[in-house]
Amino acid sequence: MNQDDDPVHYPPRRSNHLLAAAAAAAAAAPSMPPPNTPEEGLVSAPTTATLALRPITRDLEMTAASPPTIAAIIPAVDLRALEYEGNVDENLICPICRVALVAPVITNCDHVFCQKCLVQAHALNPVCPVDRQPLLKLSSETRPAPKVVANQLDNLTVRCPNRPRGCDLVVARSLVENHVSRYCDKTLVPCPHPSCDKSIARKDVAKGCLHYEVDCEFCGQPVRKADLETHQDLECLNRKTNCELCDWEFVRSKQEEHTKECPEVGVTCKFAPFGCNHKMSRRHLEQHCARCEYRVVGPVGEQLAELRAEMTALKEKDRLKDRRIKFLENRGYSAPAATENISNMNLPAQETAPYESRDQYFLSLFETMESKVERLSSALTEVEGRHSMMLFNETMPIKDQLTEIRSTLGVLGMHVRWLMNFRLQERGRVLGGGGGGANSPSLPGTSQESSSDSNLPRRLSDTMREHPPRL
Amino acid sequence: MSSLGTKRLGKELAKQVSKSLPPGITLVKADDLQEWLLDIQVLDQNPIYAGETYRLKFRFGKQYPIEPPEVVFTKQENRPIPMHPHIYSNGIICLDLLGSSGWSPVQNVESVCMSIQSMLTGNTKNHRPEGDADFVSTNKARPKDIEFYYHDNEV
Repeated sequence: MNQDDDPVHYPPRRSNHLLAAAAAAAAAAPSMPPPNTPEEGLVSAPTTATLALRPITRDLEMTAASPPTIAAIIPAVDLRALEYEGNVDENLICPICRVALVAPVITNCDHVFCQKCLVQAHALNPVCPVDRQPLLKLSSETRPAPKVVANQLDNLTVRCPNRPRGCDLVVARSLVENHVSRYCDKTLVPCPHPSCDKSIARKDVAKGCLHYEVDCEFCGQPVRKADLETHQDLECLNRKTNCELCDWEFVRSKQEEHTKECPEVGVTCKFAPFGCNHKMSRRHLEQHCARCEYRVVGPVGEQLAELRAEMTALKEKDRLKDRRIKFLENRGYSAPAATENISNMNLPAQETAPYESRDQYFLSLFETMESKVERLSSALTEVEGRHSMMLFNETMPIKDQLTEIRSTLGVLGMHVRWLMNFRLQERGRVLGGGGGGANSPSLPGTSQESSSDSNLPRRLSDTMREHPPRL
Repeated sequence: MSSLGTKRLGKELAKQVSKSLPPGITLVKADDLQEWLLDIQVLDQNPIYAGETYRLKFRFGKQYPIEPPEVVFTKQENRPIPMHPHIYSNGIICLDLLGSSGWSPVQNVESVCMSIQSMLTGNTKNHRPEGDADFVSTNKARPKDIEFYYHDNEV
């Protein structure tokens, strides 16, 4: 990389000096179409001119009057116009031009762009296009992207830009310039004829100027001599060609027709639908079919297909019938009275059939309803029996308990009455002691006498307990 | 258009044809690399824009994407100009993103559409910019030559 003699902003590849020189060269040749189009075969800005060529090109451009040599005229490869093989990693794509970075530079805010893109964007607005941080001077606020990035970019594989002219090479991006400028025989170079300003593929240079029109011997159309070969190889429809398979010679435009009858074209066995996987050229087809294992299956299969078709037809019929039944059912439910009218209106031709079926339908409906009712009533009685049993089981103990409670209640009542009597006697005695009742002492007296006879000890204690405070 | 511009637009087009655009944005016409038409809809329930579709016209200059594209709404049957305090009734959009100072070459058609979509989504004012009638009747300049004064950062 000879950088030292270029007053560059970005050491690796570019120089303003060179750009200016290219502009001068372009100005010196006003008839030349715009640069960067490899097909035109002209000088473009030497963005990526191969290193070995650089000093030469510059000298030539600087003395623009001297006749350009072939080497100088070979267009530099526009790396941005290349077609990449496969997908390029998103991180290697310039956010401005959206293709893989070319001569990447990185800003102080860590964003990477193509050097050219950033210069263009910067001229309009001196900020970083991604985050809008001010970039006052590109030379001080940006630097070339790290070598890793450049290496990754160099390793991307691209197609040779001469692919449209027949070069199918796929090569690392760093090598494509070299390939195009030195080795690719499809590269366009200026026509060797001094008065001709056209370009020609490198391989044809030795044939002299081919820039005159000839008629294609096959289709009669005028074609430039230089393009004749490509025309006949690829475009001309009338050119005869040999079938790749059967050697039959035919006109290219009849290709399709030939494919349909070519005996060598691969076809599948005609029993393929029944499972034969055999593939052979058309000419062996009959032979194969005669002893194909599936030929026995063939007729069966055909019958099967017929049956299947019949089945689908029947299914379709069945579906229609279903629909009609549903239709009738719906009307039967919704408006039995109106059914007749509607069926008369809709199906005047088939009056009897629907009538019968409808009556039958009603009958069956009736029957099912009846059986349902029967089932329901039996279920009902069953439930009733179960309920009464349950009730019985529940109420019996309750009744027992009730009588028990009643008896205890009687006993308790007796006790209470006895106690009440006792109290009354007591009170009567107290009152009798105070106010003297002729009748009252007699009752307690009897009771006391009788009780004292039977329960003497308890009575004693009772009286002992009862009496002392009162006496 | 420069080769950079055509390449880049071609890439954008290929991307948008192969992948789908964000919801509410559809590419209507992109026959050439100079003028594209896109339809945008506001997807949330903003009552000002509910049920409407608006048509955006992008025009790409020679310097795209270094310079911003010209983006305006165009009026057609059932494609009205949306009501917005920054959108004039002739379809011109006052958006710093579309001016030379606010544009960044990193932007693309999709991002511009999304910006406009969100500008509509966030709007609550159902009126035109001040002096709309004057501007519409007197303005002859192309959108990018108009000196907008971007003052309102609310909407």
